[in-house]
Amino acid sequence: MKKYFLCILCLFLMGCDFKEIRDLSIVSTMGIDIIDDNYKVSVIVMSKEEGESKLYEGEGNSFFKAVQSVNNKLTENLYLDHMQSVIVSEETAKKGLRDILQYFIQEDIIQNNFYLFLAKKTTSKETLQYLMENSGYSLSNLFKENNMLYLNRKDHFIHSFIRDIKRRHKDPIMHSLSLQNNSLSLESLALFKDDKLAGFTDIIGYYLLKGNVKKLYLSFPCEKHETTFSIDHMRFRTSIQNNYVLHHISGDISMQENGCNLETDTKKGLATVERDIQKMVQEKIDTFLQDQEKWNTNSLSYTGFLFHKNYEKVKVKMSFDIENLKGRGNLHE
Amino acid sequence: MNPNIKKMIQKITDDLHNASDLKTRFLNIKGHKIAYLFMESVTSGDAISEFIVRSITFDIKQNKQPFFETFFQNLQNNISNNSLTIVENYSDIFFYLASGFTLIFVEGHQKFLALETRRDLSRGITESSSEGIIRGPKDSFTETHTVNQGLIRKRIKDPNLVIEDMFIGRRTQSKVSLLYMYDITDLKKVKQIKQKLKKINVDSILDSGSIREFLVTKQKSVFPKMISTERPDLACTSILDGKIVILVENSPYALIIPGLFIDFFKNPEDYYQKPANATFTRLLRFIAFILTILVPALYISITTFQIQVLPEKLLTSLFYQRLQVPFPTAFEIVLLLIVFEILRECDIRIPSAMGTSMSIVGGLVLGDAAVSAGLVSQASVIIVAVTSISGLLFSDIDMINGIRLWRFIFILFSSFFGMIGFTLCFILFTVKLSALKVMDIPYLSPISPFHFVGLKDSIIRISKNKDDKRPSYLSPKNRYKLGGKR
Repeated sequence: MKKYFLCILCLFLMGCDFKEIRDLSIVSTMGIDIIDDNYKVSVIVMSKEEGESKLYEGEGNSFFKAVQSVNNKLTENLYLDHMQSVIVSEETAKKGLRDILQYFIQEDIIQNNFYLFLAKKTTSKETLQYLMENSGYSLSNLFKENNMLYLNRKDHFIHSFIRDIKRRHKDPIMHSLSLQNNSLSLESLALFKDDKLAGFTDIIGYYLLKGNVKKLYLSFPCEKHETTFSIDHMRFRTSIQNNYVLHHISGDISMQENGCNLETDTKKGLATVERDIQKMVQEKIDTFLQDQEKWNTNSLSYTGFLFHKNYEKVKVKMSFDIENLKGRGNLHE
Repeated sequence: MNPNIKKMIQKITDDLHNASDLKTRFLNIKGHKIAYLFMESVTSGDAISEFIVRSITFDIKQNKQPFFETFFQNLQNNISNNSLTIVENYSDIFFYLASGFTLIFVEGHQKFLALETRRDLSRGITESSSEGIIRGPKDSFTETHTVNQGLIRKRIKDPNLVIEDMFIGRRTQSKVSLLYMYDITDLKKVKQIKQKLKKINVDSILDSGSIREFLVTKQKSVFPKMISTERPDLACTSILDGKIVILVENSPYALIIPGLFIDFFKNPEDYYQKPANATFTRLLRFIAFILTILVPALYISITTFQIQVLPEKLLTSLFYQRLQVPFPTAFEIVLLLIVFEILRECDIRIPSAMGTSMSIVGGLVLGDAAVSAGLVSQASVIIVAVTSISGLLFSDIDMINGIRLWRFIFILFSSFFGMIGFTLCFILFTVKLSALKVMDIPYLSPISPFHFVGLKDSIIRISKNKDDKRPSYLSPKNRYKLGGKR
């Protein structure tokens, strides 16, 4: 009997803490800024009035102290396990995210995955204020709103970020948010070298190389007018052979031609369209690859291959399999 | 035995403490003093008048040429009754009187005649109240022992069906019958049960439930090790599988031994449905078993310890629901479960006419008011409702009680130690079940240890034309139940 009693007593030492849901300050979004070498942490906490939330701030010379400072302002314990997203400012990212990531790992907060975003040309607090003003707006909506890209959500999670830091031939990325004209949008892709921000690049080029673009709007001039193409339901197949990165693109192309007379019903006309699209796609990819070289980053697992083979020699080849060409169909607005 | 009938009857009356229902009548037939006595409460007046009084006063009186040597022999052979016994022991008098017999004494004889004049005290064969089915035979056991035996005998018309009687209970002298198939059942198991039954030395056996405790002496568990059923068809199926059925006088419930864990997921109706439907229903019962035991504990451990695993929207919903509730989650769940158990107990005990109003007040008004008053959260009500409804899928009261106890053990562990406690309790539960044995058969057979043949009629039920063998863990003498091999 004594043995059983001792066994049960031992269970009390396991350190699992009892917490009631109602006694928690549940944080949905966190913003991290560094101003004058001080960490400033802002959190959006679920309010006790249904459907409402409140913004709390804290400051400290380390990230830990800044979080503790927020905690001290709350009557209930700060609960970060259900955070949906963390926004870091450009300044913070430039100084490195090591302390922040270490805190999340040590406190076991990353058990639940959350999105990481970078606030470009603004502070993360301002972004949080925008979210507060537009109550009900969730950052995950950004993915739904962007109908151009098959945004792989895993790319935005903190788990992917930490995993990429650990990998030898891959650098992490982060999506940057732009707050302009009272509207929040995904602007560009922040390229990281280790845990520090290196620079920015075009988001489309990255996703074209990853094969995650579902719709692409392209426009180019012809004589006096401009033709707009929309490639819908794009499907990519990427392979690497010798010095070539091969992309096979298939999909439906919608087109608005304003007197360009492209004669798309003929083989010759169609070939012209294909050539123009290829040119535009190549440009986007080239921009991304040049940025990679410029910032000395390796954001795609196979860009390592590209540099290894000497980037200048590597050509991107594309083949098309256009299933349907709709004239004046699904137009770009 | 005193040959003087007046003294004899006086002695009986004294020994019965002047029982008001003991009736005596003295007659004088052809110079012989006769007395007959009976207990009015258990005998039929018509039967006494028709078969005894008439025989004695008319037929025997008119018989001028006695065929027999003595008047007692004459009486014995001329009286019209199909159940006549000569009793020579004084102590047997009380058994026969209480059993509805009329005793006839003849002056000068040290023995008496016992004639059956039992009053029909049975309620007739009715539909089973606790094990209802939609398709299949509707009859159920009653309190009358012979009727219960008949309900089995009429289904199994095989000479190998053995019915053995014995009397248990010092004061009640209840008839207990052991039924099994001579050419199927393992006779060692029959012997074991007989020995255990013979060892029972108690005042009373009033129901089959009373002898359960005497049959399970080792490894006591909250889960039942024998099936208690009202249904003769289930009893017959079990007998034909090689199990042993015990019928107890005045009890409408038969005991089936051994009762393995898997047996409580079966229902007689499963055999009257298509195998696929029966399998689906059994799977439902299995899911219900898991739900009813684990759901409240899982809810407590997740909402108070492992909040991280909750989806974001569910967390938000629970957060707002629980804001007004003053109690901890574990207390809230236990409170609701106790209220439900009280309601269930009331539902069983109160007259059926009041049942509807109680359901409305208890279930709807109380539940709704408790949520509105902020005493409990909606989620907790749903959890307790799911738990309770799932528990109602089982008809065996011992199984229900076993589940209830383990549910509370799980809640206790989860309330203190969260998911770790829950896991530990689950291991303990599995170990306890695995270690159990019923008549040397592992309780979790045929799942653990694994028996392929037994599995054909377990959580799944395959077609009867493929289920050709009896499960080997029952050690049947004859393994084949299909085809020509008998």
